[in-house]
Amino acid sequence: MRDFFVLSVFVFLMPLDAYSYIDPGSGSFLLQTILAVGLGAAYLFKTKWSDLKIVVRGLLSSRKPTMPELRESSESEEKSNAGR
Amino acid sequence: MRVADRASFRDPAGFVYIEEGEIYRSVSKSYLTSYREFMSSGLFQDLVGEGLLVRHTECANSLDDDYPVVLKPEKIEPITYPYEWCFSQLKDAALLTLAIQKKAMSRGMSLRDASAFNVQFVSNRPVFIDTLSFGALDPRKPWGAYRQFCQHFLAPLALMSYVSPDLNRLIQLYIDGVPLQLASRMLPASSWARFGLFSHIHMHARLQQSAHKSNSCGVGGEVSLNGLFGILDSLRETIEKLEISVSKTEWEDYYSATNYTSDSLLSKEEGLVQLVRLAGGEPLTILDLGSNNGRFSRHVAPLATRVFSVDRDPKAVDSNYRACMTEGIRNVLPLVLDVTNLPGGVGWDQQERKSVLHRLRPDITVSLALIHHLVIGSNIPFTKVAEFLARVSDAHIIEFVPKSDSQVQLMLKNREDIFGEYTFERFMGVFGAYFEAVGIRGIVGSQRKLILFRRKGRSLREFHA
Repeated sequence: MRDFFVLSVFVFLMPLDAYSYIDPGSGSFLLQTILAVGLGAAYLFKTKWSDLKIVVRGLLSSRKPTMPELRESSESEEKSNAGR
Repeated sequence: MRVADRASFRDPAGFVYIEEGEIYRSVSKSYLTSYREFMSSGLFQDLVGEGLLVRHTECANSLDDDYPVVLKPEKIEPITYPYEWCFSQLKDAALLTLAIQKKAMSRGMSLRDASAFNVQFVSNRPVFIDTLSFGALDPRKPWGAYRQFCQHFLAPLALMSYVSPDLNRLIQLYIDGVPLQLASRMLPASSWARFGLFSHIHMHARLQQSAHKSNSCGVGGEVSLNGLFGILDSLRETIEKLEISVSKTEWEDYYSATNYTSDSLLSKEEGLVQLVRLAGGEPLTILDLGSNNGRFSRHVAPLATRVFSVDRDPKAVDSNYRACMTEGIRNVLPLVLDVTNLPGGVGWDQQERKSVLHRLRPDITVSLALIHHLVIGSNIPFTKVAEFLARVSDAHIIEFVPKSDSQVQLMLKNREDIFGEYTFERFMGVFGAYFEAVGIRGIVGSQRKLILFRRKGRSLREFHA
């Protein structure tokens, strides 16, 4: 990630020549390899966010369950057994 | 007779041709494996089912050994180009391309190109038309069409949003997309603060240049599939956030700012409908020249199969496009076109992208409150206007705005009146050389008139052939 920001600053300081010949893709490929690191992680985080929420909720709910939750849990267990 | 499409030669995967008025797309031997993979992946069915890709059927006969498969796609008319679209149309086309790429990647495929010319508007919805754009996805390789996507979509959209909505015309000048170095230079400093624009335009432009200077061909490591999805998501978010400012333009608030009373507007609508009915003919295609925000195009839409609603003001066209969406009107196609400077043939041999007059073939052309802008505003004599309109369609409905009208007086306020010949009699005389006046309706509360003209002599459709 640190490399990403160093490169960003480096790139920012590069001069521009608007009308020179443009390389068809090397720069674009290089940029994608740089961006893919951060954006890939962000994408993974976003898509896995719902799974993470469940895990986090599970960790936080190490407290003693309340009566309604226990009732709900036992009801679903009964349904599950009945289906066997 | 088989005629190859002049725009279809860059991609060796196949080419488009026209035979007996029908469109065909041949598939080359070299692309056949990718085509079969695309069809069997389920992606084609998905995309067609959702209305994102043009439907096609496979023809029984092949073209020759080099082109073993021929497809017959649904015919799309008229073909329009990105430099004729307003901001919201280009934005919708960009989001469509990204959505297709995301679906393709989920099925192990990828777009080999991301040209804005691969999108067309069908019933006012963007549809992808290049069935041969799909190839197998190499999940470790960067997206080959990323640069093209940025040049064809992101750069013009950012420029339209940050600098001026007129800059869609840059795509006409730069047929393979707006160079990122140019876009980076033109965009204001505030655009650097947006991560998407900073990375996909400013940083992209600089890396392109440094790669060129260091002659680093083939540079670039591997990327993860999540990285590719992340880049797509970032492009989508960046584009979704781009907007054009909503301040009123000279035409957008025209009807409320001018001396049109509600009675005049209703009378004009009524007169227009009467004359369109009088012109008759089915199916009916109407070209509304100088349509402003499309109020009258939408009003006559139920009488027509299609209405091409064109204006030079991109914000007025944008407002028209969004109104069509809101009102569920599918047969009005808003386009940004300046009648005094219509796009001719551009690209290779000036034929790769055809002139607009070869693509829009209206039965009736409607020119409401346009004549004074052409003759007095742009110094185009009546004879030139009549000569031009005679080539566009056989029937015309023209609103004549007399010199006594407050709008014309406003135009003459700060300039010398050199338009002595701008009279109703002279107008009718000049147009009489080409057309026959079939019906005239006055507009209540004004001295304006609506005239229905029909072309004299042979059909000018021959001009288009």
